[in-house]
Amino acid sequence: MGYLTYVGKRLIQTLPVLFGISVAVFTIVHLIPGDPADVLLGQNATPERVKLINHQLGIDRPILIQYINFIKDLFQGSLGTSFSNKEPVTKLILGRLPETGMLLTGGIILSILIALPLSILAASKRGAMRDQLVRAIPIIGLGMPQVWIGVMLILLFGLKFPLFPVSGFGDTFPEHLRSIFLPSLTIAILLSPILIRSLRASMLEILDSDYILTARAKGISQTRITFVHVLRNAVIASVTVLGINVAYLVGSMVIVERVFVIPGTGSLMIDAIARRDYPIVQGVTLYFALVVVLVNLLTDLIHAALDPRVALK
Amino acid sequence: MSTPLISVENLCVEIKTNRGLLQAIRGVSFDIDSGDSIGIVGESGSGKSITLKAVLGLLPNNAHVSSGKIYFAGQDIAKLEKKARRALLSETAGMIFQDAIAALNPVITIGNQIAEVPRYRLGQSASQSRQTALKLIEQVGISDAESRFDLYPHQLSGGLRQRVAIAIALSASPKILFCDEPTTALDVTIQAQVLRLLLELRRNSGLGIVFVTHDLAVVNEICDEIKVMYAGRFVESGTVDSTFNNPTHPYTYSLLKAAPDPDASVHRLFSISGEAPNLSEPVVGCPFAPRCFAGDTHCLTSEPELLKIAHSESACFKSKDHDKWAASDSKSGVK
Amino acid sequence: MKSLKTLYIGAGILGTLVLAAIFAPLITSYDPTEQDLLQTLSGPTSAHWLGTDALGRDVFSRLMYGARVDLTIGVLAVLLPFIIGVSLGLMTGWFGGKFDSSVMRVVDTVIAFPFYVLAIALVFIFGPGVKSIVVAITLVGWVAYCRIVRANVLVAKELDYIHAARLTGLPTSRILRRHMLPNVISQAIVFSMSDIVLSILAIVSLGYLGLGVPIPTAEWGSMIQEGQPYILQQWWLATIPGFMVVIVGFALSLIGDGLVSRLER
Repeated sequence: MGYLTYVGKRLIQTLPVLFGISVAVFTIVHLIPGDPADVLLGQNATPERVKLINHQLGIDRPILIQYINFIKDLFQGSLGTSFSNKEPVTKLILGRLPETGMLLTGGIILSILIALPLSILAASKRGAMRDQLVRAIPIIGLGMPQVWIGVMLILLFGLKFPLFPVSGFGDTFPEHLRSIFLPSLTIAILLSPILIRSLRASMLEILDSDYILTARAKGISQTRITFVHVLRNAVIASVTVLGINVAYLVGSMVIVERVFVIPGTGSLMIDAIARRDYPIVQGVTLYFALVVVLVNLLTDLIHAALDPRVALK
Repeated sequence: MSTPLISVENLCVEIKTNRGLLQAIRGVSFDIDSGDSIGIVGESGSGKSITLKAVLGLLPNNAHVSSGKIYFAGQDIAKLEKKARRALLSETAGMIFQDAIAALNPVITIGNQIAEVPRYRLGQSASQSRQTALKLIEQVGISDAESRFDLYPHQLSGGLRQRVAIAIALSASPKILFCDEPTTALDVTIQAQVLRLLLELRRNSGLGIVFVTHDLAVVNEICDEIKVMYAGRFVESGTVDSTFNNPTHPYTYSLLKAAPDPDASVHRLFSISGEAPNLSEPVVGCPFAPRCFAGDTHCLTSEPELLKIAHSESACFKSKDHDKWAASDSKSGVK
Repeated sequence: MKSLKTLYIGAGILGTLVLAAIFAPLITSYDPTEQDLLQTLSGPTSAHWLGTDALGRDVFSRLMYGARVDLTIGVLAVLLPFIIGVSLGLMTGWFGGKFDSSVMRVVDTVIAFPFYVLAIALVFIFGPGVKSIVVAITLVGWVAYCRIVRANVLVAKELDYIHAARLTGLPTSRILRRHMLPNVISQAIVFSMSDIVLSILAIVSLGYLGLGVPIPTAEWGSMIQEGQPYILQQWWLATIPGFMVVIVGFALSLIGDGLVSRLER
């Protein structure tokens, strides 16, 4: 079986998940007790809006028809229209794409930059002081609230030593980069303990393996062993671990955006809650689930590209 | 007499475990010359693999050489600078392992793994090293080298993997091949093929072999000399012929009895009762004494040295009586 | 030996916090929600050990009463997912077939939703408060237990003592409860320790966003949020509540590590 076959197979595997997501997002609104329109709009319920929402939900029609219509709209790229500013939800979400994309990428890159060297450092001398220190990171790090990490970084690098902006996204690309540094670091600090725990174990396994002994026995240099024989296997392990934690990463991003007042998709959602803007909440929920599925798919494909065992199984 | 290729003097290895420090190797000395073929046999945990790894500097993190000297071509390797040591070691000896799939890097093609030393240590060009690798692949008896070059380890069968591992070990053109139970994980027929390959390499290119195993039949097949290991020491050492016909240590005697005799029509399953001593505690007396049929109270108080006796060396106070064991055995049977 | 020590240290730290939360009214004489607008943002004094917040409320009492809220919800929120997940894991692993594959499809779907996104969406539907948090954590949390237990059941199913139990003709429910469950639950219990930390983190984060436990109830997350504007002058207002969570996480990590070596032997 070649790589392309694997890609095809993996794509087919996502179909049921996509179906499940669409059902779940569709169902959320139907979980609402009582009259959805009233509940959804809360104090903002005006007859006009109640009518609009009832029309959007198609509450009076059979549930299957409602679902089919929902899917039909989806395929046309429509997630409904925002209550508060009458704009299409899809457009609103896509407008926030740069913020979300940069934050996600920045968070992932920084996480690997922190977790991978530390794991290698710890595993290369098992039981030594540096290993003990690295092993303490998950024990303490896993209990740190994401908002708290953010606030601490703001205090430290934004106010005490004002090196980075503490809020906003800036206007130019360099400004964007500076603005997303602290939020990305927050995500990285949040994710690193999880990554380190798995990566240290994988590294130990790699370093203890016979193929490293084989490489050492044939007398090639330590640098080559580390960068060719160890690192490639270590990166594969990182990609896998990262893939497992994408949902946590994306979810935390929503919170971190809020702490650093970055106008990304997460902020869009939280603002929508205050305004009881139901289409946005539904749209963003779906959007984030799709992001998770997509990133998961990507990590699997990268994994398969790096590790010849996967595609050929 | 010329300097031996490898000379090991009184090697001791300690392993850190949860239950404290383990004296895995307790003073082992031996020489290896080019063209030698030595079998090291013993139960699991006796220290045979650790000995090989210690000599090649491949000990795991929790183990270290606590005393003793290792000379490669007369040079004390502990005194050599890192890079020089690595070169000397790999030019002298290569190593293959029990589990070939674990010994091959899963994400690098077998061709590149074989070509790595020629390319990155011997300074050959990309196409030269490829040619070298192709030659090695053919040398270890894999047909169709061109098309196999770009395969990954998991795409090969167990026997082919072990051949690839041998090719990798040979890529640094060592004079001796250290074999750590390389056939244990293989089917009997594949096992025979790999052994035949090793024999051919020995015959055709004078490759020396140190073969660690618990399988006496394998030693009989490909080795000239045998060293029997027990509780981190050699307890008997001699030529295969004389040792198999006339063991001078009770442990060797029991091992030979335990091995199924391929010629016998009736396979008698025999095992040595008792357990090997716990090496995290100091050894008092002969470590084999509690399991020995020939021992007496003296054996429980002091540990015998490896001494010359008749045709071989043996670490046993009773080895001068070795002729009587077989005789008494035929009456009462070894227990 | 070492595992026992970590277990005891973890339990000791957590126990102290739990006792402090239970006996909060005895430790401090202040009402955590009582405002004293004449004494806002005061530094630590003998009367107010950790000073007062922007509304003149005693920070130390708020921390202690906050422990009540965060710890209680944290533990309660894990209880239901644990029961649901373990039961489903047992059944899917044991029965397999269509039931198994349909539950696994649901699992795949749930995993696709980032927890905080789903939690925020549910808060939107049910309104802010404890109920939404518990529902959100339950909806997402059971998946992990289900997967852990299912994987263990698939292994244990093929073991001889289970074969033996089946041969004796015992009813399936009894085999599952008496023979299977004790052997597959330990990993789930260990995981529940870190899961409690995760659920406390969720409460704190939602509290910070103003979507969690409604104000003015003392809760660590909203305390961080309320302290943030004064971070340069009164750094401890936002720092200490977060630190409390770190301590809880640390204690539960130790307990989890200790349990691993105690249970998985």
